[in-house]
Amino acid sequence: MTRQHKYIWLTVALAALFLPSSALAWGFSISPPEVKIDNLSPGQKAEFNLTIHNKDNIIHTFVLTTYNPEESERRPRRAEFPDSNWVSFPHQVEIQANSEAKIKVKVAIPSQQKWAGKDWEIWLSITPEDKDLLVVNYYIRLLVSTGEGGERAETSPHIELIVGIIVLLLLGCGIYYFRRKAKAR
Amino acid sequence: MQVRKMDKRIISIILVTILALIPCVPALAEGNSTVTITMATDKYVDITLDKTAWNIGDVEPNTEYMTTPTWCTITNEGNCVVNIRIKGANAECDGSTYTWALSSNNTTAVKKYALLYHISYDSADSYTSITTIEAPMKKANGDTIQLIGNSDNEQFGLKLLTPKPDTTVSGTGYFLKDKAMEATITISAVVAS
Repeated sequence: MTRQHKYIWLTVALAALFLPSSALAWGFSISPPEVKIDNLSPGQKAEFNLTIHNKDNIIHTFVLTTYNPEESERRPRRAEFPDSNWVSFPHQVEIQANSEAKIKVKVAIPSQQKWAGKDWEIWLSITPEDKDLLVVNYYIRLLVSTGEGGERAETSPHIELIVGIIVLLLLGCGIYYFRRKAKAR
Repeated sequence: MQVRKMDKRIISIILVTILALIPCVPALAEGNSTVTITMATDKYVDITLDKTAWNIGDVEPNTEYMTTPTWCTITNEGNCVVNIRIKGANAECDGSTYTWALSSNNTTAVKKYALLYHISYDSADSYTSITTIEAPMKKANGDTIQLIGNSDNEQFGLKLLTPKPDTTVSGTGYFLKDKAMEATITISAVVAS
């Protein structure tokens, strides 16, 4: 009994495998490969669509995430994107066989003035949920440049000027009106 | 009577001025900025792998397994130049907590395995580690793999170094599990800089 048990244990121990799951095949493409958003002021939002084309003859689910590339991988003078939560999109998309889907991506910059005048880069990653030993993943380069604005825009000197003109106008008209009224009496 | 006429005129002037200025306020609040989004929608990324599985079968501890140097072909079927990147993952056993950690430096240990790739036509012994940290795929001379599109392709092979044995009986090493170990190697493409 002891011998038989040892024999089974050895057989089990020898049979460690390095096998991928059942063979899968998929083909897909993405467009555009790069998106450049310029002059996005703090407090503003921008939207664009990316397209995933499922070229297979079966339905596939694709997983979308963000990825912060190292400096050497980024475009020149592009800094790391401060917070991937500023980029929003569906994290999973199911696409029918031989079909494509448009995915809406939103980029929203908080309104603090410290985010003005920056050049950032972040990548959007698109990969199939089904995985084999080898799996393909695509990145879309998202280049975001912020303009001036933000909190400064809320107290813009232009707005102050407009308000000032209105107040002066009302004041002038008021004085004129009461003077005319007094003269009439 | 004259005063009433004047009242109406003044009120009219004020209202007209305010109405005229209202449309200007939101435009000025934007600081005259116009967001521009630039993207080439006629460009697309599309790479294919002619193999996605490596059925090795049973493996022994502390042993090296290799594919041919031209085992897998990466083809750029898209219309833009892409850089190819690669990363690996720990090998997992379905339904078990038994795992093999992926080595970061080609060395193996108990429950630690190594994966390497070889670019075809490089010198036979030139292998580069695949780690859990994504990195550009490179030739032996350090050049990164860049595929220009129009079916431009590159071939590569894999090498597996299995972990040291979990246990040794009478000088023979064994693993303690008989289930299939599953791992994933991710081949990424990003439009070139």
